[in-house]
Amino acid sequence: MTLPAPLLEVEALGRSFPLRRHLPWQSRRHLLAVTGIDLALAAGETLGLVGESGSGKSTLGRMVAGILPPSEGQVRFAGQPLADPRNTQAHRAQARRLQLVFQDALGALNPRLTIGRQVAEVLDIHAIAAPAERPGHAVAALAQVGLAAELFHRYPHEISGGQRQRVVIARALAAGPDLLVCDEPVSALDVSVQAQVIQVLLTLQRERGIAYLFISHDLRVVRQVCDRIAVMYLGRIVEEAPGEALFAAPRHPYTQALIAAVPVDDPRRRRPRPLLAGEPPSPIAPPPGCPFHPRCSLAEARCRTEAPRPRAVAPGHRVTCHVAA
Amino acid sequence: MLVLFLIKTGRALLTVLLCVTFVFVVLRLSGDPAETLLPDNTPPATVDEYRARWGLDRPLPEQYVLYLAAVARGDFGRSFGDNRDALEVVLERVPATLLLGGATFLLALSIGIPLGIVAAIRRNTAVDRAVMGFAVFGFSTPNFFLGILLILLFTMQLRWLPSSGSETWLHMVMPVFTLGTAAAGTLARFTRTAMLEVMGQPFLRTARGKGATEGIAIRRHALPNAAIPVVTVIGFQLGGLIGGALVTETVFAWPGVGRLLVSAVAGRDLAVVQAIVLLVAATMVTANYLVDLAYGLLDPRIRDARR
Amino acid sequence: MSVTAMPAARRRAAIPPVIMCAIAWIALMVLVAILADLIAPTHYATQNLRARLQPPVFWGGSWAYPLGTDAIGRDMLSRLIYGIRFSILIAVLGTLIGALLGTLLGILAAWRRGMVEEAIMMMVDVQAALPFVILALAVLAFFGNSFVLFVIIVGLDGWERYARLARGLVLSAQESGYAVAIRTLGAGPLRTYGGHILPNIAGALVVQMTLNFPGTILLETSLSFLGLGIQPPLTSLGLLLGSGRALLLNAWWIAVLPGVVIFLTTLSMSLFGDWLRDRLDPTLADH
Repeated sequence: MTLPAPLLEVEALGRSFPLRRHLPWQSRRHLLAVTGIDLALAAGETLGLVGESGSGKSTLGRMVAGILPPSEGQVRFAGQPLADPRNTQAHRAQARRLQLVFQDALGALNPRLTIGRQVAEVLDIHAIAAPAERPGHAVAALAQVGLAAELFHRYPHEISGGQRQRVVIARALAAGPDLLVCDEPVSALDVSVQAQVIQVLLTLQRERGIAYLFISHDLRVVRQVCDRIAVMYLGRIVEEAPGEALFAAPRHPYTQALIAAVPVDDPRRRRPRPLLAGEPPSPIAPPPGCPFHPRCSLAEARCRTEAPRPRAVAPGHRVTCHVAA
Repeated sequence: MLVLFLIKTGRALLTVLLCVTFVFVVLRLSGDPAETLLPDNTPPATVDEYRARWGLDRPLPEQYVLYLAAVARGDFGRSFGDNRDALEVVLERVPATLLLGGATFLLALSIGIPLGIVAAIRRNTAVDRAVMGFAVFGFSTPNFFLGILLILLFTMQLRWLPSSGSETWLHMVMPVFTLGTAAAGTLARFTRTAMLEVMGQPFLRTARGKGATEGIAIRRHALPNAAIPVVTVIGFQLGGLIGGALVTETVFAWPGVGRLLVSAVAGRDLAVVQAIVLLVAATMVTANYLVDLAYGLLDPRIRDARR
Repeated sequence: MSVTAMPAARRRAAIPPVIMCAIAWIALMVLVAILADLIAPTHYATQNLRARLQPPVFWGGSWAYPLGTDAIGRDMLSRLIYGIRFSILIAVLGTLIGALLGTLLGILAAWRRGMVEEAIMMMVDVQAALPFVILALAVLAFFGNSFVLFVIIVGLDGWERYARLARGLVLSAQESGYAVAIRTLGAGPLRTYGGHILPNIAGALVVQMTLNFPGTILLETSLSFLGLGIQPPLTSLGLLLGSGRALLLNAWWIAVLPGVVIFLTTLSMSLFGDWLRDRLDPTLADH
């Protein structure tokens, strides 16, 4: 039995940002945001991307969504390389199937247009349904994320944060995409509202079979939403496993520290507490070898000089570490 | 710092080059330069001489280079009026305009800046409103109208001041006042704004907290910092002065470059027009360049920056 | 920007009386310009050689010529009315031309970046470094003075301010969430710039138009005053003022009346433009 081709394939993806030089003859320094990323996502699957700020997860998300060109490597969506954003037609065709949900919902909405208009505009862009029917479809899209029809005529600043986030989701889904990249979609929301929005995402995923690339710094949220989780540190994926496997048996020291830092229900329960020493190094001058070695309790001589490669330790479970794999 | 200086110099030179190119294009588009830049009664031998000098039979790129060379040595053609070298005709009117401009500049600075400071110190009082009212009237009144009103009052009604020519210093009073009012008004307003911004800054409160009196606080701390935007505005005003000089010199029959330009345009004496345009361009660019440099020196943030 | 923030209550404050007067005057001028044919007693070129140099009614004249007549007996009231029409027409047309061109160039610079942006900004710098009137005169001298050319030149005064403003606004709008979002959703450049960015920056551009307008009127009137702008038989406020210069001793009203109109109009536009700018975007205020 052949497996279906992955919906999304990421191969050796990397991105660096050149930094300003003070004088024209100085060599240019770079900020290495992301490097050496290999990922695959099947249709209907949900993959979580977890990391602290500066781990490169947003950059990776934007490259996957096609709005940031990579410096190296390739992203393939449905077997095809991503369209050049300057090629309006190809980009539009791709945008119908691949979308991005933004972290800053208020910023992502045009303050002068009603939210109904903004959702309907997606239908205009892709010429979906007859023009007269589009407002009706927009109302339906809003209903799908649990927003009442009255909100159609409201402006972004007139509704709450949670409602705005749902509007952004509705807008991203209006054209019926197969893959949704969610960049910290609930991070800016109160916990109770988070739960609502997460519920919406889960329901939609179940009903429509959308694949998610779910980016977040919050492990608990990722655990609820995602089948698989990839952990990022300093632009690299250090561990990737099915959700429960990751929580049950994290192998990479960084993953262990992250999970240990998640508050649990019963504070009296004793847990091993691997603590991270030192500061996260700067992505401008990453240390040689394994990027984590300055803070790692397991570090050996090899870790200082040789960058580890991802290795499978169990089916579907890969770790990038000399010692733990 | 050196890099900044080189960049500024480069940009200034580039601006001048672009102006020269613009004039070159306009010149070529409007007809044969041998006809437009030389009076009708020029002997054919002389016309041929100029034709050769400007390379009018050569391909366009060569003409351009020859034009740059001609501009560099001041060869702009001959004035229609008296068949003299155009640059010579223009240069002999420059002193009159410089006199007018210089006096206006002094007037504007010596009235505008103190008024602005006073208005800032006495903020929101009647004095402030009076000064600002004067400023608004100053830069809203078209200078040709102001000039005419002054002539009406001081020459025709009161017979105190002469209204044309430039023989005595009395002749200067009305033109200088006409030109300077708008500049003084704008300067007063900008000085007031700059002072207000600086006076509200935390570092000034610290100075007062350390025991400095209001006077010292203003003199030693507020003024130098307010000087920066004011210097910028002075640079802007120069362009306005040049434009204003055109009209003012015409109204008061002041024998300067402005009046020459107006008559040259009316008489289509294009050699003179060309000379004046390029001269003004060079002057403006130089002035802006100096203001830019002064700005860099005055503001320690720019001076000490390593980027 | 002063440290004391404007209290929120100010936003709904009444319009100051001075501004009300300014708006009223501007409205009056616009009305006169539009209704010129209906309200002018005669055509502006109608001569009456037997009624030359009549003073206005408040200076010893008669109601037949309420604002007096000029050297060949033309009714000053009519000439003033039509002068207002022409001057306002040229200023409005010119402003629209300059705003359109400048905005398009600014948007182009911000959209294309790279060499295109460098070239456009260099032109902006050159234009900003020179007094526009000098360049205008050069063009008028070399190409001759036609009405169309004159309107275009008057309009181009200040184009670089629109270009600079538009470029800055578009650059920051491009990075704003909604512009990135609409591009991500698949919108092309036309929808992004025309449908989203432009409406959001239009307010600032309109304010710039009101700020530029007095300068445009002054440019036209100055050039016409010098005899280098509007040519007879057409008329403009500047032309009227210029024609009255020689007759200052005997018939001051020929010059002074148009002058007063020009002064009040530019003053009103300045006050209105400043007030509008302060109201709509306090970050631009300089009080």
